[in-house]
Amino acid sequence: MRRMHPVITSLALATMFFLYLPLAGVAVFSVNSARYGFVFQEFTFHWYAKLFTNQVVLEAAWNTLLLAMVSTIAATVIGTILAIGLARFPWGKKLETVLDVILHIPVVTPDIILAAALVVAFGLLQYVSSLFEPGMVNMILGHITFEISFVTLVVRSRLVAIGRDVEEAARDLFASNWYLLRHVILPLLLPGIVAGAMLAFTLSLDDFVISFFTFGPSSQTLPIYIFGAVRRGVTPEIHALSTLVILITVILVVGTERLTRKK
Amino acid sequence: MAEQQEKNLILRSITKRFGDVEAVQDVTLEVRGGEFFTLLGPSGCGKTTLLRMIAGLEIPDNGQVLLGGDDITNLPATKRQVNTVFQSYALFPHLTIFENVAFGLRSRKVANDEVGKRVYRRLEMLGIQEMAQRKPHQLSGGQKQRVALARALVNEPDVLLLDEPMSALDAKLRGQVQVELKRLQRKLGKTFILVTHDQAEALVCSDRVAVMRRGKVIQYGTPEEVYDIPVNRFVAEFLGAANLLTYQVAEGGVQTPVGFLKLDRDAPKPEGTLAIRPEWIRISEEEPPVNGVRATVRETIYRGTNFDVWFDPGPIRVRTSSYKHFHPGDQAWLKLAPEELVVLDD
Repeated sequence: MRRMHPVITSLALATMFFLYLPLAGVAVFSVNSARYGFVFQEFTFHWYAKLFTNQVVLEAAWNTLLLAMVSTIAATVIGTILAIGLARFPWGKKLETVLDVILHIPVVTPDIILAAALVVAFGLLQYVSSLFEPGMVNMILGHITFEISFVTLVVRSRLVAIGRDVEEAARDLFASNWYLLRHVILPLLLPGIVAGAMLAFTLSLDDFVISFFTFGPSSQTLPIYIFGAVRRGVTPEIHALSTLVILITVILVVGTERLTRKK
Repeated sequence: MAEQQEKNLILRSITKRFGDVEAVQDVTLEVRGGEFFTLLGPSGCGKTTLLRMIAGLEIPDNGQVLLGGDDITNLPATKRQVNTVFQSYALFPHLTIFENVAFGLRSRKVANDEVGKRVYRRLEMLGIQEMAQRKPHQLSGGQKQRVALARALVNEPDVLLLDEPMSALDAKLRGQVQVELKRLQRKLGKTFILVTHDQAEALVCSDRVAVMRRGKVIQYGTPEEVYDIPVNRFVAEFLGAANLLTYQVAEGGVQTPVGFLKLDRDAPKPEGTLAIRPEWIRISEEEPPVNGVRATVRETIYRGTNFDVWFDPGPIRVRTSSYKHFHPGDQAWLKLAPEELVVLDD
């Protein structure tokens, strides 16, 4: 590899430093025994322990996980089917461009716009069924809505990379549609599907805006809890909680990266 | 040989369009059971499209595909006793070599011990049994090609299709594989249909060749027939090298830019083109009794096994394996024997 100029290297390091300084600060204060102030007193896991006895936090954690898991599974299944349909059905040049734009719109739309739209939509659906009162069902539906595009984009790029050759070879070797899907497409697509699912899971875990607009009294998630708690003052428990969320996110992001990069 | 049992493949007036482009135009061919047939032509001539219609990967817009008398025109690839060696080989990257080769048997639910027996027989025949547990990415290009061959042949197809199977191999290996492929086909007595743009490959491998251009078959016959008696300029120049001479009919022969020449038959048109292969022209010190042309060496190109000597007038290219060196300005007599002169259609 070519050696970087020292100025560029130091700039890069400085950027990294400023990016990660606040996160590192949060992690440091989560193991500081002092409740207030910026002086490090003593190393402790006390705040973590306290966190795990806080019923409200545990419930929020459970809600977050439930929301992330259910929405991820649904979005992954729908997104994968959509990706296969988009990549393999003979749509024709024009329609394909239109579909491509439609697919990208949810990715670039600000969350707040989608959230507001969901509020309107669920407001109307409430007349149909009380199922659409603010709460977990709405949150799950909301999360599925924005996750699908991400899953589809990841899976589709993998599908394009696989190419059609192997599919034609499988057909030439007498494989039925089902056999082809089961023994060729899905195994080859699996890294893409897992990567898409992990991305969706991470997005759901971190989402605040859409959850905030759709949650009900019994479906508070961690981001919403943290938002509420911070308004009353930042406590070391919040630092501990934030550190855990960051940790899980980092693990998922690294995992996704690995899977997508692997040939 | 098992030729009699093999089924004939008949293509009847096949046409295929992609949008406004007619990729294949009204092609009629008969491939005899057990022969090595080659579709030869430059890229974009429709040869691969034609092959894909035999495989069932494309459906013709018009015409029929008949295999052993049965109309298989609209039969999907999954239902045809035809297998393909793809240009990219298209091996399944997630499966071992064994499972790659077993794929066609497994998808048709052949019993397990039968699968093992048949797969190993093919792997051994192609000398790749040690590779059975490897994955495709661990193999060289030549080994991948053998796997692709084994994967197709294990299904005992009525027709084996080969879509430019040598294009990914280096020149030396290619020459070796061509001969092996021909031997394999003779041994099995199966119908092979090869698509290639490499004329040498077509001549080495085939029992019969169809030369294609712009979606049409221009000429078909044995390699000797198409090489020795090309019907037009395109075939003459696409297969090997050819000297092309325009002619006008004259008393007792034809008048050409290099002089008066006799033919061994009457020219069909008052004017047209003659072709003669560079290696059919004789160089001599004395004037030959018939069709002698007094010529001057323009340049000499050494090609390892022979020389290409370019003479004026013409220029006429002569391929000679003689040890005698020719230098620019040297004079010699060329003999363009009447029986070696081919009258072209255009």
